[in-house]
Amino acid sequence: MKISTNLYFTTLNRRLSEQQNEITNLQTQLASGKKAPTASMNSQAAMSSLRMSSVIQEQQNHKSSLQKADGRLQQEESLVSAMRRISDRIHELSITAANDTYSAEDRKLIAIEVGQLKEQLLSYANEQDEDGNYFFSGAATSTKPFINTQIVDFGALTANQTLSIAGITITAGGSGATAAEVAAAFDNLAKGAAGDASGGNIASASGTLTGYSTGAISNTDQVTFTPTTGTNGSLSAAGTGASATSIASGTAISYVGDQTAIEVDVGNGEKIRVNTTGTEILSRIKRTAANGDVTYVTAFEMLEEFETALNANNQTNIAKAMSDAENFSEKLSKKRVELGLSQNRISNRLDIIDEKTILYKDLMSKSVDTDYTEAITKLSANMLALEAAQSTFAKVSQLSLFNYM
Amino acid sequence: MNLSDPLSVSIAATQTYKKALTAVQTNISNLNTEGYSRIEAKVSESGMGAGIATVTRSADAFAEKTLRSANSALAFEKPATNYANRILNLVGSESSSLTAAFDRFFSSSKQLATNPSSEPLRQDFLSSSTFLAGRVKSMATELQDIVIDNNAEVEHRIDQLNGFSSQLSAVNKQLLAFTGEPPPPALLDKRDLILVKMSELAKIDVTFDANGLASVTLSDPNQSVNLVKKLEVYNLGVEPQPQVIDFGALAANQTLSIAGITITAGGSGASATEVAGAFDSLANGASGDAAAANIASATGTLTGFTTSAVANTDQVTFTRVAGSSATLSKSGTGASATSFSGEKNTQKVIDSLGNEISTFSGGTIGGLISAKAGVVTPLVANLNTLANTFVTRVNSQHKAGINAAGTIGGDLFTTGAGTNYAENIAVAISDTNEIAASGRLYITPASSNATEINTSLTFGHNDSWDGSVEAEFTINFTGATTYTVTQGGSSTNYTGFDQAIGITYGDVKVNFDSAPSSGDSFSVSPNTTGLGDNNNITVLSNISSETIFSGKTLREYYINEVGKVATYNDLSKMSTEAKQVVFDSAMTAKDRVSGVNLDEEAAELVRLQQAYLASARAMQVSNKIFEELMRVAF
Repeated sequence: MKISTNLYFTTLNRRLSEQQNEITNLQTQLASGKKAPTASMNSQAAMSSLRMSSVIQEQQNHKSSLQKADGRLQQEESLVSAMRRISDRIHELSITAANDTYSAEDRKLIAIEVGQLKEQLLSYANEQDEDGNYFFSGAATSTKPFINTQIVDFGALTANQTLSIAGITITAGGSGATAAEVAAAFDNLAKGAAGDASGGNIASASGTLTGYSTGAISNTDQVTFTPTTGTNGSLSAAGTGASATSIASGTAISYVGDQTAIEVDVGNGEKIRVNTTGTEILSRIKRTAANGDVTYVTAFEMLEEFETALNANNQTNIAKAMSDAENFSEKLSKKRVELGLSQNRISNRLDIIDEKTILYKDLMSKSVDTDYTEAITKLSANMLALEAAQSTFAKVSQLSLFNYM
Repeated sequence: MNLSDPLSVSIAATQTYKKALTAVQTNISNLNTEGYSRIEAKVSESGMGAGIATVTRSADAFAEKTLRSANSALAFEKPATNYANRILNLVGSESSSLTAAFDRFFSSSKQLATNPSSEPLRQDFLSSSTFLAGRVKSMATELQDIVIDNNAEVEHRIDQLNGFSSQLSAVNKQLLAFTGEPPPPALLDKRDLILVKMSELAKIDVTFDANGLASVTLSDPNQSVNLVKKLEVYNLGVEPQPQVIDFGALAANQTLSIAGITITAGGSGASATEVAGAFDSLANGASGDAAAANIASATGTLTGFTTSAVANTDQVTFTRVAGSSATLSKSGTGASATSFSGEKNTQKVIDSLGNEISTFSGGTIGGLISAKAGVVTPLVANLNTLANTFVTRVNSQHKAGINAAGTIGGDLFTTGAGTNYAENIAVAISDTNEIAASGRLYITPASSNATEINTSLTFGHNDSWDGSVEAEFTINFTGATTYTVTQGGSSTNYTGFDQAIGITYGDVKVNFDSAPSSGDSFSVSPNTTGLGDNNNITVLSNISSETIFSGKTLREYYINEVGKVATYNDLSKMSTEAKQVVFDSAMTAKDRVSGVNLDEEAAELVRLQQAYLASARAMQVSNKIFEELMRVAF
């Protein structure tokens, strides 16, 4: 069969460049460590790589969620532990104070410490995380969870002066209004009655109370403001007559966070709760009366009662604080155990994720990474073939009858 | 035997062999000439006994035909490989693939779920949403670039084909001059070379007349499309595919602008047909507002397109003016009612009569069109489906939650008007406060409840939820399985409570981890302050594992699309290799007849040289005999 000289050269040329391509391909694989440095070089490897890296990323997501949750739980645990130390100290103090050898004066000294412990507990309860969000306010993370009830001491208004507090504005009539009249008008409107009906000297009372509920203190010009859920606790007076009115913090502490449980999905539908609401640790402290009746108090109520009892040298109530503090400690311990268990679950999960990730990475490596032994063997074989082709080409192409003419 | 004069015979022989030697030399000198067919001088005996040389061109019409056909088939596969390669590298490489962007989006939403009120995490979520939109958009844009490249290449190849048609007609014209005598081999070589080149561009059918003039038509299924009919040339062309716009009705005073023309409806609104009529009549030069009383005004000039109304409908066909790169888009207050059918950047190949040629069975042009239809267009469509389905699902979830401002969330992504979702995708929010991570409601167990019960809320239990935050309601248990729901002062009693099922009230479901006792109550309130709630973002982050694409998750759907391109790529590679083998054997078959082999020519040269030398020697002998005769005679 005849082969034209042209076809002979063209064909050989193509074969040589094909071999060179193959060698370049192998070199790229060796240099990059990947079977498919570009997807088109090995579509199967590229697809596996896409799928597996996405699956691995998913595991990393879970891991990172878990680590974040773990960090949060650790912080919560340390706060609960600190609270536990306070409750233990309270328990100690209640035992000490119950000792008959202590005088009323000694007990007043203990009351000072209890007062400080209460402040400390409040500051732990209102602790914020690194982003400035409150730990114990449920989902209302930007709301300070425990705030004091505030007492507003209304002042008299002169003619036509105005006073605005928490959404309600009172305007005095032409002859001014007394402090008691202003307080009553405010409280009435706050509770839904017509605010201006209470006194002839009030020109108008308008608006709606927001963020608080009020309670008038009888026979005074004072009104207590109890914050409601989501309130940030900064009560302020405005208006032309505002200067006569003063705001003081009361003793009662209210929880204004919400009860939302925040759960984090840690994979395969498993959820881990990452928050603790203020009421879970600082409310519902069980108190059993002598007749067996069960009532619940908050930690702050308990401390206030203890403080009052110490100041008043009331032995019965001091004894009550002993069992209260015990119950409080128990509650905190229970929470600590819960938090510890959650951290345990997280650490187990993390182990599983690490194992899975290693497995997936191994699988991915098998389908995506260059098999060096194979690639190098192939490369040597190809280089040998190319060399052979080149040398035979060089020799054969010199063969021509014309050389003999 | 009546022998002629030996000298004359020798003279004739030297001339014959000289001619034959010239043929060999021609072959040698055309060793590398493209399309050259070997010529051969056949020596035969003349009537007088002297040899005469007839120069013939070594060509086999059948081998030529096989080669053209194999060439078309091979050229058909090459664009498929090129485009599939390019697209596979775009969608399948880890760095440019959308899986990375989707992973990042879901990753940041999962992180946000761990602490929804964390500003850095909200920022991260917003930026990964932006990153995702950017990646989808840039992939869609790159795909459009590929479409544009493909269109441009088709146009270029059509121009080349038209050029070859003209060349063939010129060759035909020269061949006509040799009517009745054998045409020069060089002319036939040129003709066959042009035909091979044409077959590389498109699969063609060729017929020859007695004088060797070629007529070319496209192959099946376009045999009626002439390219060259002896001397006549029929040029193919490309033109943009007309786009049909389905006009919608405009409400009072609404406006609609398309391609430079703005239609404004009158105070009572205008019907779709009136809008279409007004548009088309203004576009075609008539005054647009005369068409209907309900059109307040029609202004502007149509640019880049010509229009024609589709009779009795509210549709108008827009045909892009040749050379214009204008794209159709709509704007105005009434734009949403109007829709485009047909995608962007479409073009069609037309024959000399203006009829569309939708498929080419072979050649580069066929391959280009087939690669576009086989891999580019479906991917563009599926990327749009992906963007649209994903955005619809994410938006519906985002709108079910509450943002940091305490209001119902809006859309997280927009995909613009029209159906090019992927190209128009953008993030709809600019502030992290607008991220709706929280659930709309939260639940508070009454402090007087007998035991502490963990409760949670889930949403999306009523398709007809009106998109607003529900009013507060309270659930009071009046027995182990009976309860009362109070909302807005009115109470309803229910029976058959099952702790495992929970309580569904409207769109929201309350789940209990243990059974409440009689007297327990729970109030469900609007979550205006619950920035830290992760109810909504948790569901949103789990969209990654939802089968929102008819049984497939987002990742599966995307990887499946990459798989389609990869399969197309692998198949076209294999196909190219197979077609290359067929082409090589067709080339060899042709070469066996028409190719020049230097050794063969060298041998031939020696043979003819010897014959020439022998003839010359015979001439010398004749001369000597003649001289001897003369010497003897005189």
